[in-house]
Amino acid sequence: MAGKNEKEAADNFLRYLNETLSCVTTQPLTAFQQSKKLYKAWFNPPAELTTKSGAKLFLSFTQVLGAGPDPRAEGEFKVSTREYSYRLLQRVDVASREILAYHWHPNDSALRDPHLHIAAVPRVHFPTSRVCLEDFVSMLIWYYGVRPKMKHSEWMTIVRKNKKAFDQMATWKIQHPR
Amino acid sequence: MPVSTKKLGTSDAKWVNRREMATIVDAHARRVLGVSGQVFISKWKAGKYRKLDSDACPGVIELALLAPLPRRASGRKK
Repeated sequence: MAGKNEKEAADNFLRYLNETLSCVTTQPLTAFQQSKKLYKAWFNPPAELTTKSGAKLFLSFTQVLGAGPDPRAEGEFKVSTREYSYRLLQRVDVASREILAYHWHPNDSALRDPHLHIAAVPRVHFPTSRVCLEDFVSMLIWYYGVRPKMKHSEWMTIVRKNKKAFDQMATWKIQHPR
Repeated sequence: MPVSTKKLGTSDAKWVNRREMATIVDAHARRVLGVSGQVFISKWKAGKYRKLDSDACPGVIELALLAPLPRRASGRKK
């Protein structure tokens, strides 16, 4: 997921995100380059998901990405996840209350650690480790009955491959070293 | 709030330009908080929304992530 410059690194990272998300939706991410080093990726509007029972759910995915020199590879650039929000919605409306939401937004509130919101238990911020997108997508399929967009073996291969990349590249998983 | 987008690069993402992004943030702010994007940004910088969270105002976290708000330099590496 590295690149020869910041933009290439961001492009490569977005390709990885889109590949993981393609397990449950054909909608591509929307992306914005705010500066040379800051990028944003999200679903605009939330992506429609179909469950095995035929019901509709919606995925609101948002990540803020920072790009900079890769300390492990001289002359290359890599992308760092700076903030994320993964929300499962019953309606496409971004202002609708979520079924659940995994958040990490250290820049925007007093609560700077990763946490989980569950609609059935309002006002509680359940602490979590850093949640990788692959685990979230797998949860949608296994526990919320979201119908994969490809064969079982295909989405499992993508999730395993990209989770392995996350395991290798992530510099923190439990607690960010502030 | 979809806007016209175009493909750039090879990431399969739909890249939007600065004007389109401002339109997206404005629409999101109006839907979630009932204020314009500019008003949201001004009030956020003034600390007016510091205690707002997803439970009280669904969608506000995504809005804060998308809006051009000041951010600390340190990120979580991946």
